[in-house]
Amino acid sequence: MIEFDEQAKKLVIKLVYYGPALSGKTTNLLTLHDQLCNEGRGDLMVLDTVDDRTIFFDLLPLFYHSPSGFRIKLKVFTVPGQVRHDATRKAVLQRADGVVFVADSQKGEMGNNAESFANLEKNLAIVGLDIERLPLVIQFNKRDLPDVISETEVRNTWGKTGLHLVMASALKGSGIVETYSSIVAMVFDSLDARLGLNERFGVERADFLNSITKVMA
Amino acid sequence: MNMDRKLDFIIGEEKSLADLLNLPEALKLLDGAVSAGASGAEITDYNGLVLAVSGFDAPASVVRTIYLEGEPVGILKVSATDSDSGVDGVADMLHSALNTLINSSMKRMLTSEAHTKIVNSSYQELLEANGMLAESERRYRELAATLEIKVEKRTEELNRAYATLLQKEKLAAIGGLAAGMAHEINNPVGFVISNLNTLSRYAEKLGEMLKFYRVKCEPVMPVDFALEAGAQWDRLKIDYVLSDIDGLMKESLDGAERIQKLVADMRGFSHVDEVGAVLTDINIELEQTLSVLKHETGDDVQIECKLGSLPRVNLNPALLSLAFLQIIQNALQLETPDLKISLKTGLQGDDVFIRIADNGPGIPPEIRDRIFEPFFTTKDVGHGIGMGLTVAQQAVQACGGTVVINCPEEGGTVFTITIPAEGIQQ
Repeated sequence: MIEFDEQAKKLVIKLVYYGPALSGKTTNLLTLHDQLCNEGRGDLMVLDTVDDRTIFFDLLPLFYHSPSGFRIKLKVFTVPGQVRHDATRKAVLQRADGVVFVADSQKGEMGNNAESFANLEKNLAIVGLDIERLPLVIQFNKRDLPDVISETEVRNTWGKTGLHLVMASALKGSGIVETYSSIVAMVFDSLDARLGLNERFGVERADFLNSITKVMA
Repeated sequence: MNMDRKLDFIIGEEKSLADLLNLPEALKLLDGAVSAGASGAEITDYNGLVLAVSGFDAPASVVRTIYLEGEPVGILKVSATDSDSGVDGVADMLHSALNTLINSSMKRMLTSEAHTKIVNSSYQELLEANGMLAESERRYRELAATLEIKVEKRTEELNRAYATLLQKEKLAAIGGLAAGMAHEINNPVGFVISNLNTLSRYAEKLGEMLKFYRVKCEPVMPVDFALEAGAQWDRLKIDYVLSDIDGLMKESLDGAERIQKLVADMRGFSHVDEVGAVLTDINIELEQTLSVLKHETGDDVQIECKLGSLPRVNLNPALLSLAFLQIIQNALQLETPDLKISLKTGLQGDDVFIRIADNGPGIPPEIRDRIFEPFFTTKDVGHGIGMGLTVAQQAVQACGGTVVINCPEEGGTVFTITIPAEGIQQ
C-alpha cells in the first residue's frame, strides 16, 4: 500500500490496471469515472497521452471516511501497455495492493495477453510482490466485438488458475464496475486480515464497499 | 543485469496542499484578486495553517474549499470591506485559477518526477548492463588473443604425453622381449658352456692317450707301419690340432660367457623384474647401458669411463638407463672420425652428476634450446623421429633430476645429468 498512518487514521491503497497495449485500461477508468457516484471520488487524471496511447499512467482517486473517523484513500492506476514502457510499468506496480489484468478478448490477441501476463509476473517479482497472495482479477474486455474467443473457452483456459474472471465491455460500460467491485472487495479482505481494519479501526466492510463502489443513480 | 533492483519511490505518494502550491504563482493570483477589488485574500490548509496571504483581512468575506484528488485540503478566503463589492465573482475566479494551478502542479509532479526517477533507474540498469558487456567483451578479447598460444601449448603437451606413452610402451615391449630372450638363450648357453668345459677335458685326455700310444708303440712298430703312421700324423697335422684345441676351447668358452653376460645385462638394463624406485648404483646402470650398446660401438669409437664412487640413489633404474641409452646413442650417431665418448660420474655437493661428453661438432646455439623438444630432429627423414633426447629429459625429470647441455669452445657437446643424492622423496 502507499501509506498507512495509524495515528492519522489514514490508509492509502493502490490498485493497478495491467494488461497488453490497447486492451482498454484507460477506457476502464473513464467508464468507472462516469459510472461511480461523484461523491467520494476525485477527477480522473489522464497523464500525457500520445495518439491516445498512455505513456505514463492514468489516476482515478477515490476516498472513504468511515463513521469511526478512519480515512481510506483508493488510487486506481493504469499502466502503459506498450512493451517499451516497461520501466514505467514497474514503477506504477510498486506497492500495489491489487491488480486487475485487462485482457483483450479478440481472437488475435491471445499471444499479447499471454506475453503481458508473463510481464506482469516478472515485474511483480521484481517489485517484491507475491502473485500467489496479491488480489488479482482477470477481466476479458471487448466482449462487444464480433471476433472474440468464447466465454467457455476463456473459462476453460483460465478457470483452472482459480483467478476471478469478469467478462466486460469498457466501451459499453458492462462488467466494469463489477471488475472494480471484485478487486476492491478482495483488497479490503486482504488488508483487513493484515491490519485489522474492522477490529481496530471500526471500518465496516459492507459500508466501505457500498460507499466506494456506489454507482450514479 | 541486476533484475532484483527494488524501485525506491512510489508513484501515487500522498501530497499535501503545501507540497503542491507554487507560492510565487499563488501569491500573484492573490495579488490579482486584490487588484480586482478584494481587500484581502488568503489560503490556509485544513489544519488552519496560513500558506499564502495578500492584502488585509476585512469583515465581509467569502470562503471556498480547495480540493485535491476529490478531497478537501484547504480554504480560500477572500474578504472585502463591504459585501456588495462583487467579491463573490472574484473569489470564484481565484478559486478556479488556484484549482488549475494545483492540478497542473500535481500533474507535473506525477509525470516529471516519475519520469526522472524512471529514467534514472533505467539509466542505472543500462550502466550496469553496459559494464557487464564491457567486461565480457574484455574476456572475449583476452580469450581470442591467448587462444592460439593456449592451443599451441596444449597441442605440444599432448604430443609430449603421447610420445612418452609410446616410448614407455616400446620400453615395456623391449623389456618383455629381453626377459623372454634372456631365458631362452641362457639355457642353451648354459649347457654349451658346461659341455665345452667337459669337451675340453675330454680332448686333453684324448691327446694324452694319443701321446702315450705314440711314445710307447713307435719303437715296437714294424718300420712300414711306423712310416705310414708318421705320414698320416703329419698329413692330419695332429701336432697342430693338439696344440690348437686348447685355444679353440678357451675362445669358445669366452664367447659363450660373453653371451651369458650380455643376456644378463639386457635383463638388468630392461629392469623387467623391478617396479618403481629402488636404491640404485648409478655406475652399474651406466656400465650395463654401455654393454647393451657394445654392438653399436665400432672399433673406431673410443669410450672413456671415469666413474667416481657414488652413494646408492633411490630412483627408478629403468628410467635412468633409458636416459643414458638415449644420450649415448645420440652421440654414437655422430659421423665424427675418431669419435670419443667420455663418461664421468661423481658427487657435487648433495647431487650426483653424470657427464656424457663427445668430441663431435657441437650443437649450433640457435637450436640448442630446441633439442629436447618432441619431434625436433636434425636427421634426415627416416633416420629418427626426434624423440630420443625428449624421452631422456623426461626420464631424468621422473628421477627427480635435470639434464642440461653445453658446448664448450674447444668443441663437442656435454650432457650433464644432475640427480639429488637423496633420490626421489616418497
